[in-house]
Amino acid sequence: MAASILDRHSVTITGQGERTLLLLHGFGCDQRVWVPLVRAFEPDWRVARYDQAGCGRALKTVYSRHRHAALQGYAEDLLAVCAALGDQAVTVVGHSIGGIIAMLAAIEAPQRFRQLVMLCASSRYLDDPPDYRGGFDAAQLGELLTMMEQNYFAWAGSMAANVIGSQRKDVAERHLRNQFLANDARIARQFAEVTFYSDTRDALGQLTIPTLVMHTDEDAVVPPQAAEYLHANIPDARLEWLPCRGHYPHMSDPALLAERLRAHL
Amino acid sequence: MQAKQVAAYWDESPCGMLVTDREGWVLAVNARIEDWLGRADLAGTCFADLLTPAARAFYHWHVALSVERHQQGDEIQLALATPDEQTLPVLGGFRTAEYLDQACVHWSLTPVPRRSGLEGELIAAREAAEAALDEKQLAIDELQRLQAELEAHHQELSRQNRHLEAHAYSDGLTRLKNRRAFSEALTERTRAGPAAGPFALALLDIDLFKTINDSLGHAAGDQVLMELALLMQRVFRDQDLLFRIGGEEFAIFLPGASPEQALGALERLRRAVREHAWSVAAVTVSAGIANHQPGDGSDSLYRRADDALYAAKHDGRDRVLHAALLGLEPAPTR
Repeated sequence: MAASILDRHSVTITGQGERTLLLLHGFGCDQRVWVPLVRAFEPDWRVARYDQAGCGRALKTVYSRHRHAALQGYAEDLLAVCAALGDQAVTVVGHSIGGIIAMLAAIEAPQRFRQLVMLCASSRYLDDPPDYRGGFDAAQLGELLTMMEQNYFAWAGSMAANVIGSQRKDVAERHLRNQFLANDARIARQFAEVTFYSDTRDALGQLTIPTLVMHTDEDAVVPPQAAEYLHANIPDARLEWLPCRGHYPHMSDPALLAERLRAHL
Repeated sequence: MQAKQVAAYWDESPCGMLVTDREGWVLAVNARIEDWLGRADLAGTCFADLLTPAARAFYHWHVALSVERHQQGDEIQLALATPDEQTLPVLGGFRTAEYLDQACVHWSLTPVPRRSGLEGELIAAREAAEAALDEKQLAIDELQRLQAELEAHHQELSRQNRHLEAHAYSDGLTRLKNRRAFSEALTERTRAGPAAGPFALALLDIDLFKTINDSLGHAAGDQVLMELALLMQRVFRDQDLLFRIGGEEFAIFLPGASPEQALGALERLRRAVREHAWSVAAVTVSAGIANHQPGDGSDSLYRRADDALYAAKHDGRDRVLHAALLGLEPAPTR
């Protein structure tokens, strides 16, 4: 029997409130990155988060090499989760490529969304000289993908630990780790390619819902120009600079991020 | 500085040693790293800034997260940006420890230029193999698609052939078999000889059909022909073969029928024709029957049936005659 959409994406719902806040992780991680942030919203929000296809505890069967060969496939998943959460429009915070996936979903079905927050997101990672700066040239991007592949062993290990949710070094973890090594190398590689070679600049103008672009002062993955580009090209967008560093403010500075988010939501 | 003293023990190590705080700011490095990078002013810089752009992105994307979450990490492949835009691939690991109330991240980095180059080649080779596999799968899928298409074409062609064949051997008006089918069936049946078992051939003619055509028109004539065909289909058995072999001429093959049985069947038809409520004009039919004899060819069998039909017409129409009764073939033994 087919698992429900909530099971398939291992959807976690906590907190209580009239409004729903949906948190969408980016490439190379899973819903656990939101743990430091969610507490700040649980008293007055219904907070939902899930694992995207091929990540975390999402069921293997969710991932389709064909469907997830484009970001659109991930956006379809998001819309399916939204539908399962109820009729009410949600506020979605998408981190990195998660923000882009949420944008594509909001273009497809704007009625499902009340507001969109794009956190450390980029509509294109590759430079497009002379006018666009994405942060990488083609050679660097190739090097990055190879490096990810070379690091896959360590990477898979940390993912397995996350999934298990503890430091237990037992049979279950070894088993899970082996499974990751066997099955997920190609999935991770494909998600990496879909992410880093994506170019959604043409879609920005079609986004109709109110959007908040949030970016840290120093993000080594996404340069400030990419955030400014989002702000300049999304019709109803505001840009908020977070006075902190890094690509994961929800991990490194959750209190600051929560406070700034609350001011805008 | 305390941390510097800690790092000094490691100056002679073949590995690069590095201590950062949890956020990645360099507290101390050993001499090995200063040699590699050709600079000594590293304290206070960010570890990630010592890396190539790709490695820096990977560090921020993944490694920083790992440092944040875990006490240790192993086999992390990075690349240092060495002077003159050179790259030094390193394999690193870290442990987190409290040192004088400060959380320190201890890194050791081993240069792996040869291993890294080899891995790069292996990864490229694997990608090429995967691409080849994908291509092969695509080719297989395409072949299967073409095969299915061919099969569909073939079936369509067979269907059309069957349709054409049926068309070539059937009479468009009455849907009975036509003269061509009759000729072939008669030749085949007589060639098979007595071994194929007894059978009777009946030839049937609508009496005075020309007058209907002349007085009521061809549409009325066609109507009569169609009604007669339906009557024939109702009276005869499934294994009997019904043909329309001319304007108002019909033929019936009765496999396995003795002269009496054939006569009985044709009599039933004759009576049914008389009793039928014809929609345009009442008609009668005459028929002549011959039973297949040893040595019969298609011509001789046909001629006897035709002679019997002629005699039936001559005898006043609306009747059925068997060739045996005319002495044209041996009388059936009882």
